[in-house]
Amino acid sequence: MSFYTDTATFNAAGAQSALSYHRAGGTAKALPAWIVRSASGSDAPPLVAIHGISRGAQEQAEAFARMALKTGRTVIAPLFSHEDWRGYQRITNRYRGDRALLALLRRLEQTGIVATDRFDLFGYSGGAQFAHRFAMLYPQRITRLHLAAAGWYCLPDRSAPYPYALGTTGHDEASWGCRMAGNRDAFLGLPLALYIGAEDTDRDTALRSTVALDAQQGFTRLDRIRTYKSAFEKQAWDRGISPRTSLTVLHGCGHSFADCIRIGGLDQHVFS
Amino acid sequence: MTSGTLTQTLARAKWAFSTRRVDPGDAAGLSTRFEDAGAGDLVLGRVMSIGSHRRIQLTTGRPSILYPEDLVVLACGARYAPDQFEGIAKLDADGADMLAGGGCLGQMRQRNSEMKAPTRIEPVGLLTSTDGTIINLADYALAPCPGRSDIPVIGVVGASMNAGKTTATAALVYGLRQAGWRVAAIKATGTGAFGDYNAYADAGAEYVGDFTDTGMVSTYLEPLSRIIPSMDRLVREGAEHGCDIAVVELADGVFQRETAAMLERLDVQDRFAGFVFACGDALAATGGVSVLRNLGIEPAVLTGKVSCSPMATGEAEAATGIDIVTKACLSDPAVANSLVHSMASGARLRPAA
Repeated sequence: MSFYTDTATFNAAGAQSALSYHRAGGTAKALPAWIVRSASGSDAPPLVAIHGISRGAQEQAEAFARMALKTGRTVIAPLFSHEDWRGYQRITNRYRGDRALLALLRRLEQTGIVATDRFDLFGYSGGAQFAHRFAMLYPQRITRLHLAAAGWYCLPDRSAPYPYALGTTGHDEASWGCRMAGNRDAFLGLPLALYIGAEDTDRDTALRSTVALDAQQGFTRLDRIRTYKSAFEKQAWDRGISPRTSLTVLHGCGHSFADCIRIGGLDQHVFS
Repeated sequence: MTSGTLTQTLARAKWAFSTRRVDPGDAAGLSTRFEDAGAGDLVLGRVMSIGSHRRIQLTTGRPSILYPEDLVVLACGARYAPDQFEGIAKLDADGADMLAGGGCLGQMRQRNSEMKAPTRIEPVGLLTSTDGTIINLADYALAPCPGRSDIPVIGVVGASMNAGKTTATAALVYGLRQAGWRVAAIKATGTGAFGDYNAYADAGAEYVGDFTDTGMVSTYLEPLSRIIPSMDRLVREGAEHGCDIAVVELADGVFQRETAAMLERLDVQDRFAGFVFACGDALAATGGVSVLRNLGIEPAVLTGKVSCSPMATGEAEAATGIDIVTKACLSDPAVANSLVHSMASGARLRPAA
């Protein structure tokens, strides 16, 4: 099997777990992943953590390791490389990030590492963009959706064409909006946990800014996450679904995953 | 024939796929009361002449080339196949017709003009058990089980034989499996054969079943009171194998006797989350959708050979207002997954034209 593991011992909080880098060779576009497994395995679903455009998969795996050890859960942090996965967060690019992630999860299950039929899905920044689109495509796979500091969202309504919402245009990409709309009721029924730094209000160069997007979702990540929460809840109520949402504002944090963990305790919120 | 000789004879015979659940050791004798034969009864036969079926599908899942004088074990049965034969479950001591390669022996009533005459089989005897009763496929059926499973069921129906139903079913099974579903693939009507069965298994179905598992070599001319519980039993078997969704193919076209009778019944329609309709061209799409709509069925998508042609696809979509998807689309986990959910919500998979 062209799937092998480099294992390094990783110490956190006085306990020991294995932080492993799983490389998948042989298959074009196969995803590698950083994985944290504790010796005391739990039946709880694994946490799949999707990095932002800085590609901090290892950083996320290490950041969640302490809580993974404490709870006995497995963390899977796939790496969408700069070289192969430009624009991975959109999912619907030429190379399909959703299929690559599904394949990775299948391989991890086939090799006996962890059951991946259902899992918590976390994403930070660009990873949150990936995560909520993936969840709209495969809601039945998700036990809880955690979105942290996405730059912008695909709103689960028809207020704009895809990818800004699920409205349609004549463009081929609109099919994705229709596919996601087909799954909408299952998606809106998911527990949704949203996180944002209280100071994540910069309009930095990584933040997509257009007149239409600003008008639809707001000027900052803080504005936009509130817009998303409202749109999600409204759609849920309109469709007879009681939304299960939360928004945690992490004080003392800007747009920094490291600060969200260190200062805001994001890992504890995600594992709570 | 002594029991030892019979055992040796049966060991040399080519057992057809439709008999795969049978324990050959149960055969203790042979009966030549061929006039008593009915659907599902097991027949030891000898190949008289090779006709349209040059191979027999074995229980092991491979085809075996037939030669004159070969011994075969088949099930007596009827067959409905507009591209091949129509035949009934009746045996003549002077010779019977091999109606299907999967192991269906009967009397041909009519055949497609492009077909050769059927392969002829001389019935040697009906297999009997120790008490002298004729052994029937039903003796090996899944045990009846009251109640139905509640896993979602997607129906695949078509305009005709060879419209692309099995291709669509296998593609959908693959797509759903990629999306993380554990899929049961079931052939609810038709004639026992391993082509569909193997196609489902190859696509990754966790459970594969057909009406031969419930004791029928073919569903043609069988009463709905047998076919519908058979379908329910197979879906339930899939659920008991851990499947969380079932894809059920109904054979032939929507005009086929048993398929049409099933689709007419609201209680049967209610068993399905939705339907995929496979057809060969735009006219078949239009006609088939019209038939289904008259029954109160709105297919979620159209597929089949029509989807191979962009022009035919355009015509059919314009005429029916229903999305047409290729087998590649059905194999895509995102599309297959959305299909399941959209069946519940009534959403379209593609933007309206």
